[in-house]
Amino acid sequence: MERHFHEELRQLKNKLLEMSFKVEGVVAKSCEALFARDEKLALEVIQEEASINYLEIEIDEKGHSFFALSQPMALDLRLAMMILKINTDLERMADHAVNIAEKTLFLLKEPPVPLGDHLEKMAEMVQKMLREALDSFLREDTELALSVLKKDDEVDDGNSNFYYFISELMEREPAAVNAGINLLMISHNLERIADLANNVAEDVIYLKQGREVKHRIHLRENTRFEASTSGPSDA
Amino acid sequence: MEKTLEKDEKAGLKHAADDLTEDLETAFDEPSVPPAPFICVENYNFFYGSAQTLHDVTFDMPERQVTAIIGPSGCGKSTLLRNINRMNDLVDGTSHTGDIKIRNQSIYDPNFEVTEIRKRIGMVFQKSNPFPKSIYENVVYSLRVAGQKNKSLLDEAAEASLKAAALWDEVKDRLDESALGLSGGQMQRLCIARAIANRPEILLMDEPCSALDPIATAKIEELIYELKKEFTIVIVTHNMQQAARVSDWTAFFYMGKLIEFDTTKRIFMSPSVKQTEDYITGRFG
Repeated sequence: MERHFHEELRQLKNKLLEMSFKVEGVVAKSCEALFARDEKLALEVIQEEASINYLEIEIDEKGHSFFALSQPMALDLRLAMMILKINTDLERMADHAVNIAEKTLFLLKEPPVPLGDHLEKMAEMVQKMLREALDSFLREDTELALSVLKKDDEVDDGNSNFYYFISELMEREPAAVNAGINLLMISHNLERIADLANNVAEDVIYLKQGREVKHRIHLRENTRFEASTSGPSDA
Repeated sequence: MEKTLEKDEKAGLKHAADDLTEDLETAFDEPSVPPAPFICVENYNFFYGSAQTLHDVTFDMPERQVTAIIGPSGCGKSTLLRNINRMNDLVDGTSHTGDIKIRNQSIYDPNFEVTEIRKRIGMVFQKSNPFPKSIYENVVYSLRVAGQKNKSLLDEAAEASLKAAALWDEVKDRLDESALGLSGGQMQRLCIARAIANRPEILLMDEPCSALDPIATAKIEELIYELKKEFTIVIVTHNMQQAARVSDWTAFFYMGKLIEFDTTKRIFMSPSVKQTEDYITGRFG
């Protein structure tokens, strides 16, 4: 039987999709601003933050109201919870995109430094993870969500490689230290966006299967939380 | 050049932030004054003999919306409901002060016949009470009592009422069978069909789901959601979650007093009175 609150849940999910399009947009724009050294694009990212914050509050407010008035259960409950969690993660991703844009504006005032190809590859991978994580939510596709989780190590490796690349650069060219520090922070921002995309993918798996895969807990011996109330001994 | 750009950028961001603050203030600040008052309770006191069961109750229930009345047993919620259609007139030794108005007309106006009031107000009770007649005769009963004899009009009213009560598809092939053969949930929907057959303006519901299983309850709740497009509904319920699900406005009563009346959203998300919060969070009552 269709309940009237199912329509509200659909509207809530659509609002989250609107949020995800906006966030995917600012992440892509911040990367483009960085590599194309485009001041206008960087400023656009900063200005779009307000509307994303607004949308985050709107989704939160509607979600809280949905919980209070509709008392969702089972799949409805998991979906409503995931919408609120993903909403928070998306807003954090937008914050990281804004950080990248702000550091890009700083870098534009500095002489250009060679970036190698680590950072650009990492940015491409992060955007791919984000797009696939959001697609997996839209289509409720756990296979796609799992493929996102598998890419996280590549981004972490990219972040480490870029760290060594920039460290060597700064040792060689002390004049590049200011730019180098900002580039390391950008690399960290990208790595955090990947982590948050990972969270979204984990949430999709929980939504569809009701099983927790965060912190790779499913790979441990006691995968059921009820069985290990005091926490795993090897934690 | 750089400084100008930064200054413009800051001005732009400040402007955007100001707009955002204004939007947020208007978007989430819902009106707490009911639109278009329909049933107005004004300084209403009610007594069984010398025992006062309602104390200076004042609030307005809006048209074509659902108002839920909640509160612990003995708080006066059913008493108030039964005053709206003057059912308590039938109880010896009762008296009242103050007034209840429907569309600005007092229900105690000598020109307002009690039978006229009850034509304008349908009522559904906790226990479904179909008459020992056929399904069809139950629905058209009030029309027959009012003198309607035209068969096609009666047929039309029966079909429309059963459809509005979401029961038509289940009974259309057995309208002549006894209503007593229906399930509990079907009987309650039949009583709703009977209550709306005479096209009242108001529907009073006194614990309409308390004797039903969860599926039948869900069906009645969805029905209430649909019926509010046509009727002003007042529902008394012990089930707070049900009040949250079905109503637009909620009145919380305690010991005969109206403690708080507001949008259901506010009552269940951030009530103004601590007593309301304690009740809806199960800390007392």
